[in-house]
Amino acid sequence: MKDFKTLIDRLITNSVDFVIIGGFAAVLYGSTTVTQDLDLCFLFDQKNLEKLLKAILDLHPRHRMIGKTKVMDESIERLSSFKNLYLVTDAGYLDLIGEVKELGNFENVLKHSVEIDLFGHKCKVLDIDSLIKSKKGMARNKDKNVAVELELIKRRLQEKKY
Amino acid sequence: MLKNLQKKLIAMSLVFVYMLNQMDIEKKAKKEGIDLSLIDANLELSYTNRAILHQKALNLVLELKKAGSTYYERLQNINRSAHNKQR
Repeated sequence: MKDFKTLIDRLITNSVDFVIIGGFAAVLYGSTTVTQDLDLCFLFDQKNLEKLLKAILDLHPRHRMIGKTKVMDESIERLSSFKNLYLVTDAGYLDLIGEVKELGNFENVLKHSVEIDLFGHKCKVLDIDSLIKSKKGMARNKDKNVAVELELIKRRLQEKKY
Repeated sequence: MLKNLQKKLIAMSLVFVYMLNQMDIEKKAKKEGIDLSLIDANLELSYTNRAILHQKALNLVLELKKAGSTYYERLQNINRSAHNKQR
């Protein structure tokens, strides 16, 4: 089961510090792309990791790229040494990224974020200009197409059609 | 007077460049096969409704993927048994 709402609800309820980036951020702006993973720029400090583990504990988080080992089996110290965490949970894939190409670390990404209403919560999403910049910087054609969509959306918004 | 004319010319060329750029984006989008009407429909929705719509699309993609691999497996089994019969 892949359920973005469950993941986002839990993270916000537990006051986890994150900014939505990647494909799902593009979806929120109106892109027609379909993505399976929730990409978040994440603050890799011990306090935030503790909040994260509390939020997703019963969703059985496992590492996706290191032999599906259980995240719970690892110490907070070890987890905070990671630059990124690619997890699989009962509610879907959760990718926690410490640094975004072209933008930098969490603090910088936070400066380039906007607050939106999502599932009844206030939620931080990377602003459209930075999202376009990061998508353009990626090698995959899929990302470049999303960048074109986002440019078009930006134009529509500038024309205040919506 | 010359300065005013210069200013007007600069402003007009800026508008022209902007318009060209905007035309380019739409052209580029069409060339990439992007359905502009779908984007317009999405923009009518709230952030939450865009997320809900995406979830429905994702569920459909995953169902189709599952059906595809079941079909492929069945096809492979049929081929395998036909091959065994021939031997």
